[in-house]
Amino acid sequence: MLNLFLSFLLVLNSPVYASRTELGISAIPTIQQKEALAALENLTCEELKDDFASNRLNLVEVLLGVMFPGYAQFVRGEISEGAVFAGAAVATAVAASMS
Amino acid sequence: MSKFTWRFATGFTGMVSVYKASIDGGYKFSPTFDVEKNSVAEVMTSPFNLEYFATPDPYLFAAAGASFSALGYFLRHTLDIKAKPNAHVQTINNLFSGLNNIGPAKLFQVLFLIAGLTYMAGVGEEMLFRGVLMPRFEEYLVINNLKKLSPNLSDCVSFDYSEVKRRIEELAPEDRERLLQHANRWANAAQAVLFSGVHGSFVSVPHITMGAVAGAVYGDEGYDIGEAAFAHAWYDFFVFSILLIQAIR
Repeated sequence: MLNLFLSFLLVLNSPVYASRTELGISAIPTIQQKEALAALENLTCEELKDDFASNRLNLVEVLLGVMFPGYAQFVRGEISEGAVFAGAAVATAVAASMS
Repeated sequence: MSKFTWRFATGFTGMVSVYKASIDGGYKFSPTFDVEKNSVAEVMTSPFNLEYFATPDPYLFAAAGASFSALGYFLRHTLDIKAKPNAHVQTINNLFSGLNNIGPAKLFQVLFLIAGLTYMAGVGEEMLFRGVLMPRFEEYLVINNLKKLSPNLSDCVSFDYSEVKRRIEELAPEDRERLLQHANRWANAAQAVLFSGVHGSFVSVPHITMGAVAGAVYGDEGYDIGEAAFAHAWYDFFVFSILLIQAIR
């Protein structure tokens, strides 16, 4: 517990934060982001929820995606891209087990 | 050895796939991360991007690591305090056991393995912890605190980034700074604890600190994961090389 407490002290008082003058909010969004944001503004709440659910990974999906490469693409409906990641993982696993 | 590399390689592919899905599917609208993300290719080539040698942040990461190594050396050799190695440290120790008196061919093979492992650790872990989890935690904290600051916010705000952005811009500059800084610090702390967790213990001071420094390096200007990946990969390569030299001596 002492370790945990000391770690948090270190994290929260880390002197590197002193150099943080600019935060992300002041950065200029790209044109694509502006267009995408403008498109989102016209959606209803239900449509926004659907968009969110179909595009974003929750933390369980992130975990499953790390354990099973390609799973993240699979849940987002990008089956072919998911197959590429799954194939790459199988290929590296085979190569590693042969070494 | 093969079981270790197998787990590592599939884990790396998984981390890349999750990062790819996250930049394709959403964080671009995140209130605190309203900046262009590094592409997968940029992050994957970042350990070879020598421009990062000219930036100060990788040295900060290395200095944090070196301080803990020096402290560890002092505790072990001067004060004779020996901690029991956790499972992660044990795995790394096993990697270097039995390597004394090896020939040049085997040495080359081990060096190649080290290069691969450190590359995958640097790039993969940065993608997952700093690229996916940290923005996600940060966003969660911003939206929740915003709900407390503006009670009349609609329930839909969690899904409506343009609304979140507008509300943040409406805040007084001090409140805005406090909101974003609070989210950034706690998100960084949360991902640092998880980062420590995958390195054997959730309460390991060196790993939590290194995770937090990597998070700060990532978040300080422009949110460049390449910088953190560069620092992480080269730091790991340096440490593993020292372990290898110790093992073959």
